[in-house]
Amino acid sequence: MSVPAGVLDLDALLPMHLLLLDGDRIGRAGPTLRKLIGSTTRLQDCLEVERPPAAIADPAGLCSAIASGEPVQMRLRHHAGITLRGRGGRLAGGYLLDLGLGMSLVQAVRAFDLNGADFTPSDLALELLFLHEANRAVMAELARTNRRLEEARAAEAKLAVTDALTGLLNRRGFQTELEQAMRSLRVQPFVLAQLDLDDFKQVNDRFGHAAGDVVLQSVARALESETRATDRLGRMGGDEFMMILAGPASAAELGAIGRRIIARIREPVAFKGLALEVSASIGFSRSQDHDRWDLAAMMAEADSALYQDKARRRGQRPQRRRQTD
Amino acid sequence: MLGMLDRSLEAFLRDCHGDEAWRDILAAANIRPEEFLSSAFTGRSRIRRIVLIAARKLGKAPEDILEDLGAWLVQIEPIRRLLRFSGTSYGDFVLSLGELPARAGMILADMPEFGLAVVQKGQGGFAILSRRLPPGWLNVLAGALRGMADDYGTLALISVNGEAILLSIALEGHAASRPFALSFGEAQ
Repeated sequence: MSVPAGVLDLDALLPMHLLLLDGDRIGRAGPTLRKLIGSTTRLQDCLEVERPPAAIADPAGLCSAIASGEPVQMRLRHHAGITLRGRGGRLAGGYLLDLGLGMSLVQAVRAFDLNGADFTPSDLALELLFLHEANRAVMAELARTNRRLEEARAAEAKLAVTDALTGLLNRRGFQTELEQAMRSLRVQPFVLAQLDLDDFKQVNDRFGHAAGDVVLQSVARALESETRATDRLGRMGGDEFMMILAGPASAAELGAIGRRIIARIREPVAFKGLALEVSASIGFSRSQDHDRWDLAAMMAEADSALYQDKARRRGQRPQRRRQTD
Repeated sequence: MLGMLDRSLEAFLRDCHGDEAWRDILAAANIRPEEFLSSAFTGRSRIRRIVLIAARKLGKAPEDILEDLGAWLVQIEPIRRLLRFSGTSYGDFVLSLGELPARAGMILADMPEFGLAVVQKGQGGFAILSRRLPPGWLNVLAGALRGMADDYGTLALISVNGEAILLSIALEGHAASRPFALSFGEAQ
């Protein structure tokens, strides 16, 4: 094959060139292209024409496409997904194509371990690789920052609905959970429980507020240990607690749960060498007993049940509680 | 952009001097850690304040803190790799520094417009001249050049002189170059 050697160094100038003698025989190929196609001398061994349509599986069609300067696209037979494209013209009795990697660049660099010397300085391949990598790095950094902000936001959101003393939900947080439970009570019945301590004021008065705080924290742990992870527990303020217990329950089951919780609360709490003792009263309202979306009715029912419980514990007649809020 | 600087400064100081030192510096600069997280509070003057306080606390010159930051930055694999795209040898890398502002501008939004020019001075000698480079950046760049010299396994003498960095390559191939391939590994 007579190429005007010495005038132009085709290998250096076009390291991805392909010189075809006809529609199939390879006269020569640039050093970078050789890394991709190996040492074969037949086009059909290594490349399959994809464009133009007239050149697919048609050597004569390929020759005339190259000769007329049409864009040509071929894919590597032995590496799925790597496509070469380029255009060319007639040269010294053959057909010269200058090929490029296009969007297959990143994949080809990896598959054939290409390096800087495989591309000419005028080729933007290195810049594209640089941008590809920079893009990944910047995106990773942005994702990291977003994650950090999201974690901070989630921590703030949790604080906003948490009771600082006990770690249970605060009034606002519990309210949100309750509204959520009301919205899905058709598919997920629940029991609303209300609990307050008997004579908690005396603990505060006799032993101080620090003692009262320890008692409240111990009540919170008692509630947590006697309920399930799917239940929701809140401290509504003072010594008043509420719970959303998931699932339907029979009156007998509720009685058992109530007794268990109160027995746990009655266990003495250690405080500065003292053993503090409190008891509690509890009332329940079951969503299954209410056929309407009526939170107020459920709360009133739980409240009323609580005061019946409290009165019974004191051996008194049921009496309405003073409305404190 | 400035958020990235904040983040680099924080990561560098924590990595090299510990979380404790970082908290002390923030406290002395009167910056609450959660404020530092938010880019809304970022500003050049705040970054300067942190560098000055860090220098005082660590008993170093502010210029040295900035150079150490530059040298530390280029040890981070993705950054090192991006810089290695600029040249196959250290000399090649230094000569292509003129392209650095354009490369940086391509990947970082609101990158300040600045210019770098490299003048060759005799065998292995270079002067890197800067134009409109924000204060302190030249020191970071000098540190990065020091770090990259290590990366290429080259022995180079680097000094900051006013608006310019003077650099002379004493010995290329002084130590083994860290490996670099165009394609990053699957693990990254």
